[in-house]
Amino acid sequence: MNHLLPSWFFQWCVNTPLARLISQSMWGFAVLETFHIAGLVMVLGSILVVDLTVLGFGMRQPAERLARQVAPWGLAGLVVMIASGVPMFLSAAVTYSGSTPFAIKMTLLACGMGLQLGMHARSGMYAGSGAGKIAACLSLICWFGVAYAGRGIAFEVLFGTGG
Amino acid sequence: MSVLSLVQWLNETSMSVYLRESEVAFPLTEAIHLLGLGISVGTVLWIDLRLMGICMRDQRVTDVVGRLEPWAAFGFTVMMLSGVLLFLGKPETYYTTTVFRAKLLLLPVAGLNVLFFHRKVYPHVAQWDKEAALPWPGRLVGAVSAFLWLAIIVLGRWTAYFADELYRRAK
Repeated sequence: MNHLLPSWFFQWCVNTPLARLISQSMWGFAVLETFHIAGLVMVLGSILVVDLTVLGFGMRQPAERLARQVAPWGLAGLVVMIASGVPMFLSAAVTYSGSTPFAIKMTLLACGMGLQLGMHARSGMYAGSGAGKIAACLSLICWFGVAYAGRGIAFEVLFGTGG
Repeated sequence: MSVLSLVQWLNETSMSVYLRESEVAFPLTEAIHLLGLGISVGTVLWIDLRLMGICMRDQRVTDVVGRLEPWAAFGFTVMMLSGVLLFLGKPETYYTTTVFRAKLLLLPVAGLNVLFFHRKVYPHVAQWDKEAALPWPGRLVGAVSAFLWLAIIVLGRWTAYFADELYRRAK
């Protein structure tokens, strides 16, 4: 990440009033992380039920219809994750800028969102075509990978780096 | 033998010492615990919302329960196994952490809720399988389940904070 953006940006992040508030409070980060994990469960739940259905292991109804029904919940979860994740990032931006797991997490997040938009735009993908099934597998890997990489930010050892 | 002395004995077993001292064991087990959470509560969520009549209202209850419950059971197996390992790593620390005790109290309550559903509510499913709005026992089971799992997630996350050495020293 530190190659993408200038270092003054990350420095600016940690000096914002919100970032200072979080890093100086004892429980700020913990509260944000609690919301982050609740949002994660909603996102993973939505992704999982739709992708499993595309793959033939989930619900019996058409996946496209199911996706429309669960989308508001998944999006709500994503909003909660971003609303809690951005302040967490701000509070430790300099650390995160040099974190490999964080970079992996953001890459997987972008891929996951791209896949979701792609499946949404080409509704045939939900019908369980070969391409749709590949997209569903990749989507599961991306989104569960986001969760794994998220843990990796706290424990770099999960990616065999740092300690 | 008191529970505390049992926990203290566990704490000194070679398994416990390994889990505690290995650099990879704890982070990896915790990551697996989180992925299991995504699978278990990520699927239970839809059963709860269907029972409450909030989402998937046009789907048969038997379809939602029948197709998603195996995934929930799989996720819970992953969570239980990884959870036991997490506990074994620091039994004495967790045993003396209040939020962890609260989490352990809520888990059997969630289990009883599932038992109540399958013994008393689900046998009558034929009467309201296709209904968007279920009779109150079904709606109650869904609401109780959703509340309990949210509480268990929060208590689980906070267990990690309250069991943390830095926090315990500050206290």
